[in-house]
Amino acid sequence: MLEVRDVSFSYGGAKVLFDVSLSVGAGEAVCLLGMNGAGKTTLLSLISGLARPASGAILLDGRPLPARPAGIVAAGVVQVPEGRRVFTQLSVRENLEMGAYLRLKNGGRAERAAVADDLARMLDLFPVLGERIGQPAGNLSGGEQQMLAMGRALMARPRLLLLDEPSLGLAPKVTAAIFRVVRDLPAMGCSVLLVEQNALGALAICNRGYIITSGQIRFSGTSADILSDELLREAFLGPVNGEAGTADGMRDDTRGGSATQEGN
Amino acid sequence: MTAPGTAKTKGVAPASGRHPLLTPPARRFARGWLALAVAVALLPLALRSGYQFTVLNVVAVNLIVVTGLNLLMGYAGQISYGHAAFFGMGAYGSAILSATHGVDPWLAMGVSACGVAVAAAVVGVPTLRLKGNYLVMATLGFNLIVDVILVQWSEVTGGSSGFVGVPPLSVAGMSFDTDRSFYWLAWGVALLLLIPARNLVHSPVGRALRAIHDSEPGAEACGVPTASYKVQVFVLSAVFASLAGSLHAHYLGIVAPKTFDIFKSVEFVTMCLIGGMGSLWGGLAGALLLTVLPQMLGVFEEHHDLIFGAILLVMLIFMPRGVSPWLRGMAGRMRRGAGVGLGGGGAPGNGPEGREARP
Repeated sequence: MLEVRDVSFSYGGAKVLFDVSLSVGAGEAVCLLGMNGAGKTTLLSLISGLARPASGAILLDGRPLPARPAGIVAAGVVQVPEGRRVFTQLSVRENLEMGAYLRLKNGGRAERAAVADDLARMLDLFPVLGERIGQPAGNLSGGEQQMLAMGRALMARPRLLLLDEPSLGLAPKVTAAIFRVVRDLPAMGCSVLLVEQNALGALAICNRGYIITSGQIRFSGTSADILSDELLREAFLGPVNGEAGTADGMRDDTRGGSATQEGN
Repeated sequence: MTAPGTAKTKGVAPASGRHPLLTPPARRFARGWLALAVAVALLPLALRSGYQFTVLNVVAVNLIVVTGLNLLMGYAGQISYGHAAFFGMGAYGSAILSATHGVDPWLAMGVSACGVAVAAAVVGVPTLRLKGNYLVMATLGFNLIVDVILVQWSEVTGGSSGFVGVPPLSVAGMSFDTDRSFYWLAWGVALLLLIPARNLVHSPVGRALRAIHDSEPGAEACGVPTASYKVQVFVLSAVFASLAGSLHAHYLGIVAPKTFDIFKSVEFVTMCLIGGMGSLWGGLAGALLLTVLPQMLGVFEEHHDLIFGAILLVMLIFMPRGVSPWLRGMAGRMRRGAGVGLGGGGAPGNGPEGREARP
């Protein structure tokens, strides 16, 4: 469904992606693993149209992606941005309806009814949001905001959901709840590209994974392959608990050279 | 998360097919609008002097600018310190076209508004890519440029002494050249312009603007074309300012550059802020308060810019969301503080509710 082919990108003079290729098939959940500054978020913003690749191509169903972010959303590729980015002063309901913005704007009566149905479905998926439906999203906890951000993205009825570090700053229990939803998405007709630092958690819910360091894809394979490879485990996934060790980071820097921060 | 006992589910009427956006707020606005219209209609009975009319006329003109500015600042969250320039371009456009070139005042007003729309688009496309302080600086710079042109291009604008002899607006032989007659025109236009503003705010586009205010990346991720929406609302609010400027010019018959300098922009922003950004009624409160007060207090008149600056500072530090949310928050806190022991008042002690719930 989604194919990223030999994509490169640089911020000013600093090259951050080197001929990156990856693909996500229909009904698949794929994770992209790597440490801070590896280029994960940059790659996602290229896919969602916030930036244009310097070279290479990004194809959706074999055709180039629409140029503008709105066109990409309409084509069914929706991002849950890093740091949630919920609308803090809008109510939970308004946030969810904003997710269906293009559908409400372009669709007729039938579409509005469908949006109302989807809204009810989101509240089934994330019951906490139902309890908070009229409150400003700024009142929600971090975990609830992450759920809201996901619900908002799903309101667009995406075929492919791009998730940028949904576990960031959340308690393990909340992370687990969110990962459970992510795991079930492919069965609901929504493929997933999950960017994560929590490698073990991500691999547990994804079919395949890519490992990126210093702007290059170093390894790709099924989750089982990655998990069973001793060297990979040690080099990229860190010690048993899945925390990326600092020693690994230093090794990457000396090898890749030009890896830079992504500015967030 | 939430304790199950306190969970208050306002269920989502599933699949009712009802438009989720057409709800009681529309009725509430209609009521408020009618109340204002009645007040405007009845007020002349209580007014004695022409001077009082003059003050209220200025309130109406300011209200038009503030309504437009509120769309930009209060809803879309883009700050402009350049609206006095658009106000001035409308005024001078109307003045020059009608007095120098003999164009019908109404047509002059429309042509000026179109010109301002184009100018706002040209200014807006590059500047609205800026954020926060940089946007403030850019719009301020724009206002300074316009101000300099108005003063220096004296053969056309009349220079620093101003432009005199602007003909009044008239309809079917009746001209709006007195304080009383202009009162009806100015308030009529102000009331009329509140309606499209309100409709925009409560449309999906208005919600998208508020979303941009909260998080541009988030709005972008929802498929909102943030860059083009920001420019569009900037243009719209500039047109509001231009219309107000034209009214101002045709009313007074004279326009002077001093009325359109950056301090005037600061005034508009302060009016917007003091009433509470993101509330059209707040804009009314701001325009009313900051137009009438300076007329009543001598100190205010003398140290005008100083006081406006001070108000702006205090507002930004202590009540960044305006007077009305602040008052509501205070009321909530007092109720919670005093109400526990007394308990008799009968007010349900839930504090403020809804969107403004945050202190």
